[in-house]
Amino acid sequence: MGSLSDLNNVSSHLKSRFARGFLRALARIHNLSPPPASSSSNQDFALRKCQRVKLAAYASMASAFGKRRVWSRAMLQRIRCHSSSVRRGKVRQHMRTMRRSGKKRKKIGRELAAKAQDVKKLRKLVPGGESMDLEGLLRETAHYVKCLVTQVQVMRSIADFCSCPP
Amino acid sequence: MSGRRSRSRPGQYPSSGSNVPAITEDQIRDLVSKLQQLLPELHSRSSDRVSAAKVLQETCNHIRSLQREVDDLSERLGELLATSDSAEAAIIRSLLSP
Repeated sequence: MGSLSDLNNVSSHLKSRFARGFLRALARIHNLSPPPASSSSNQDFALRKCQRVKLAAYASMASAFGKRRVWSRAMLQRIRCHSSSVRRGKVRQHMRTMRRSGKKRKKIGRELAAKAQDVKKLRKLVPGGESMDLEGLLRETAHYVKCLVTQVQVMRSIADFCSCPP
Repeated sequence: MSGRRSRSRPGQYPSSGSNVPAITEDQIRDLVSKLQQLLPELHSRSSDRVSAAKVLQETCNHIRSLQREVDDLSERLGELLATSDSAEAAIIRSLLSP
């Protein structure tokens, strides 16, 4: 399928796509006016700003792929649930669907049984990993790692750029 | 906001194993070696000497450290947005020059 070999070409294109979406989100966050009065609410505001930046980063990255990737699909869904999970019920419902699919997982081969523990950990780290077969999980992991690295690079260069403006 | 209500069925339910071909060990080894190439430390070593379990472990650690970096950078960016006005100018400038 060659999907993994395409990753090298995608990298710079991905960077600009991610950067644009993320920068727009940052500009929006920057324009949020802080609430008046007490210091505790200022702390909360700072914390929430940091959370917003983090969510914006993951959302921008996942949006670059939309539904084309299992992990980006799962991540966008997770973010949507997160932002609308004022009621806990919604999040719990979401978790229940995910757990149910995890039980019907395929049996892994004998040689890989030894690594079942590691595979399990990986499934938890990669969004959407619970419901994939092993091959899909490994492919998605590779793509996810590449995207995370790009995300970190872009975020770092923006932060460096902002902290020492020319 | 999209009007899509699809509660997406996560992946495939492997109810009967007949439709899905069993993955071979070679394919898995191939995918694991590709993962290994992405890892910073194990990149130089040959795939023979590194077990798949180790690659998976290192991948988990790598993902966790990347997520931690995202957290730190988000915090840093949050502070920068709050304090500096030049941040907005920098952002606009970056947007205009692709």
